[in-house]
Amino acid sequence: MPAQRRVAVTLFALGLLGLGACGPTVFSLYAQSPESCAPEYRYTAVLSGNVLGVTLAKDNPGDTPDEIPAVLTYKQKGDGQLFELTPDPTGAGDILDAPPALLARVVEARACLEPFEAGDSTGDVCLQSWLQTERCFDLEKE
Amino acid sequence: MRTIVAVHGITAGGNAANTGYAKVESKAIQKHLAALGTFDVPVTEALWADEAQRFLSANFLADAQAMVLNAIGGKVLGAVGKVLSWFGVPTLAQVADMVADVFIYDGITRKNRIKNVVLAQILAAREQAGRGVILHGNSLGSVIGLDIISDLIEGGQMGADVPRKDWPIRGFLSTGSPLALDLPFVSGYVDRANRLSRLLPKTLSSFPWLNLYDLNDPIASGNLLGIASDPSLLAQLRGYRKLRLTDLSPDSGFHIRSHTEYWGHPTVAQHLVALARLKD
Repeated sequence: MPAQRRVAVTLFALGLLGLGACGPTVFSLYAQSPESCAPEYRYTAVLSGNVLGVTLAKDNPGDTPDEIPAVLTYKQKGDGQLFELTPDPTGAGDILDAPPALLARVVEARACLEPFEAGDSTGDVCLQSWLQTERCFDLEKE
Repeated sequence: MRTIVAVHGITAGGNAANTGYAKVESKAIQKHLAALGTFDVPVTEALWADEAQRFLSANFLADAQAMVLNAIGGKVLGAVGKVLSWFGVPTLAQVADMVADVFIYDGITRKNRIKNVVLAQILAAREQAGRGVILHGNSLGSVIGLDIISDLIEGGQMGADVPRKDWPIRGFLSTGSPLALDLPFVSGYVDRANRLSRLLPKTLSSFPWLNLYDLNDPIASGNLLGIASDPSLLAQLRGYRKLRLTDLSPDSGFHIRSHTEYWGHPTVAQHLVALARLKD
């Protein structure tokens, strides 16, 4: 390999290392069971930048494939603490009839999901029961 | 869970130099699903860099280099050094090699050949999985994705008259997409986004398309080389959602890092999981 190319490759590699050293700051929650649901349900939450994501999974017994009934995406409103649920274009696990928008409040590493309005519903019974009252959890830096 | 087919954007070098991003994406997805259950979300790459390399000519390189230098001359970027730092490569020739892919893909003959190479890999993944795949196109890869989905609809392989279980592609995620770029020297990305928009509302109102971008991403924002103007028809799409990310760049200014870090980003992984669980 010519010396010039070696230098180039080295610089490139160092550049990548340098870039790789600083990634997004991510806060997450290790999988937990929603207390209002059957034990096969688990959820996690991830906060990265302006997006708070909550994923609800169902661990089915036997050969039945496990499911993900809902992936909730809350997007930060402006620069403040409030995050707003974005509609799920996949249609799976949707929040039905959700106006006004569901909100979450994030203060440092603590996230609280505000409860449903009366009359709102979801396509999943666990999600429905879980979101009927305010849910708070502490996120840890990854 | 459905298979994800990831299509890369502009590159320097051939396939061998560009493989690996599916592994990064797969790792991010596994991390997202950790301890939630047993999920298999295969991620496969649709590589096309070899095809582009075969067509890489002095003319394309010269055009690409002229375009970069023109941008620098217009004081858009400031300096050559900054361009190199943005692209993470040491020479302007390598930047030109990457930018040349734009011209190569838009070459009339080559566009079809690159599309065919990518489509063949999509169909192979669909065949192996037995279900329609989720397509993730990054940067120029998202434009290739737009074109392929539009072609499939026009060709009668997807659409209201085709059962959803038979669609080769069940959902689309674009990241760092230049679909808002409207530049005189590349064939209109806006037009191509609008082409798909025209096809989708009539035929595939349930086809989800998520577009993730960072405002500091100079390609997705459209502010590097042109003026961003959202394709007018996108707002009509029921299944289209765009979501701005804010934490891809290490600083608050434009940085190519904002364009290259989507693969391993947790929010991208989260949305791929959302798409991969789609039922027929």
